[in-house]
Amino acid sequence: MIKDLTIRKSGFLAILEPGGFAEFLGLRTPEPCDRIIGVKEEWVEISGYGCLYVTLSLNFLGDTCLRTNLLTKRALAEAADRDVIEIITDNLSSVETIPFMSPNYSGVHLATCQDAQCWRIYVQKNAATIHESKETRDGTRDE
Amino acid sequence: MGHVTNNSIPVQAVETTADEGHNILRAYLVLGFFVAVSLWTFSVDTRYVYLSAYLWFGFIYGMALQYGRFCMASAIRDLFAVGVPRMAVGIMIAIVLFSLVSAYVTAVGKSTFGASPIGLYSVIGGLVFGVGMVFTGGCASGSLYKTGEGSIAALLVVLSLAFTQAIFVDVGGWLNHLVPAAWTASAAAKNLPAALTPTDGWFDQFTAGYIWNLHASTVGELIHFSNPFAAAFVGNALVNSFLPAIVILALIYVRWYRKSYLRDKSAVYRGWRTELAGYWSMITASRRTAIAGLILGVAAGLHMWVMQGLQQHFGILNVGELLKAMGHTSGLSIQDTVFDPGYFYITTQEAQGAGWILQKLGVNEMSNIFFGLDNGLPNPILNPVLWMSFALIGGSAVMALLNNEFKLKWPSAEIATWAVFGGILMGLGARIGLGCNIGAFFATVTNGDPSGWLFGLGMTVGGFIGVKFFNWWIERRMAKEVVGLEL
Repeated sequence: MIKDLTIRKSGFLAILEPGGFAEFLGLRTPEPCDRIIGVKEEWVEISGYGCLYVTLSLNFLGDTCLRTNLLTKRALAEAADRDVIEIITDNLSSVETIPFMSPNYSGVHLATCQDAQCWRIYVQKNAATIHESKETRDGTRDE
Repeated sequence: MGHVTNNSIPVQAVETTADEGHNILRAYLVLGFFVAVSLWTFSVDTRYVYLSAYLWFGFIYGMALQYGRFCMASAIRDLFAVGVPRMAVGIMIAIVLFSLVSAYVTAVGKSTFGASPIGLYSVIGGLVFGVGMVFTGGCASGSLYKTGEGSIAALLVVLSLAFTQAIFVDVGGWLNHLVPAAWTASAAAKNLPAALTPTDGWFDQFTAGYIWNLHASTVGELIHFSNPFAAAFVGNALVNSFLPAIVILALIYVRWYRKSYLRDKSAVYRGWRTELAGYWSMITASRRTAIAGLILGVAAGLHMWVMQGLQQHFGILNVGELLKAMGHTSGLSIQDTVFDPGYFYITTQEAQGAGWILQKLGVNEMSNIFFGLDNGLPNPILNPVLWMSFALIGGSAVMALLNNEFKLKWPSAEIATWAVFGGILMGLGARIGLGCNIGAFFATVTNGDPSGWLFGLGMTVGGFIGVKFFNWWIERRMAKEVVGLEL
């Protein structure tokens, strides 16, 4: 099951978006969304890690490192135990930082996968150790 | 799914795609361009080797910065925003290594470094710069290397920073009302050449009426060591770089690393042995960053050695003399000089590039002290330090292409706005602080100049303010914009 969620334009900077000034003046109907963050619940196959059941996918393509890191921190803080979060980013600084910041917010960095245009980082909430998270995965995979 | 890694395993290539082949070809093309520039100019006149020296050190800096994702904005921001000391540790490693190489270069009389005056301006400049770099997402050097990765937002930062400086150093008008009368009087008393207008313009009066009255000295000079090796290694490297870096690393360890290290460690706590192991673990936690810090530190020291060697070889003190001898007199300052620090620098040459464009558009940029008296406005094609900036972008692009990390990224309007706004703050901070995170901090503290730590202090406080503001901004936006995401 994949449920897409959206970010809507708002704030004074939104008037700088294409068509944003017309929207600001009420001359144009606002677009319902400008991009997808997304929540998904699906199995993801990761080389060397087998299948992971991803519960939340955060798409930060084009975002700055600070925004990516802060929102990942927030997502980790509010995720349920054992949730696996997928962070999609094209910001190299965040690719480097997120594995290091995860333990500070009860997360265990599982893997970082480089695609053609982005990186996918997988972090699990409150998996005490990598071994434990592997056991969890093995267990769920057998089900 | 492409390359896979985890926290303890370096990035590995798992698949080879057609894109990777193209990227390697592109990397060779970029490299080939710079090789061609060096060889062609050398064949025209061997004295162009001076400019090529800047170029190749810039290229090395670009590769190292990109490899280590080396960014001072990231160092401060990651500490305060998410408690990650990786980059701050890498910078301290680079500082220690650069200081040791610099000390040797200084001791044998090959240093090109000149200390900056010590004053409150460093803290204020650093603070404004620090806020700006958090807004943009990259420091001055970080924005350059990210431009090489294909980030248009980073390019906007560079342009914004450059034009802000070029305008700021020349603007008078209502800004003259903000100048203390003592600065104006002091600037007028300097009897500068008639071609300059030292009492018109905030920056001119700041420079001639305030900065020139301050004392500049390295720690080695302050301690009055008679032995040059003692002055360089004990005064400059040990006292001004090594010890502060160790203390800062210890503070970072206690505040941001120790708790998680002890929590994760399964072995029994053995007092200081465990603490030292934790300290070392923090330093080596990111191999990539540590290696980049090592390369940057050594290269930056060697850069000074090479430039001083070339100056001695050509019998010059400034590349302006070389350009004049080669027949390139346009854009030289009143003193026949152009900006030629002889070491790693970022912002002034970018200001020169912007100033040159404004000059071509009819603005008289040569009437101010910054360009007219000190740095000149050479054609960018003949600006040696600008060669370094271009090559830094090129080196970063090559490294990014080789690792399949190059991606042309167009910013959203919001990110572009932050890039321009933050770039303006960075430009103002760089001029007030007489440099950026490289020229006023990295190159300064490593050469025994305590003013660098003042800029670093301001930059850290500014970074903290920037992070707090951004945190508030993002929370505010998230509350308004995210629909249905129950984070």
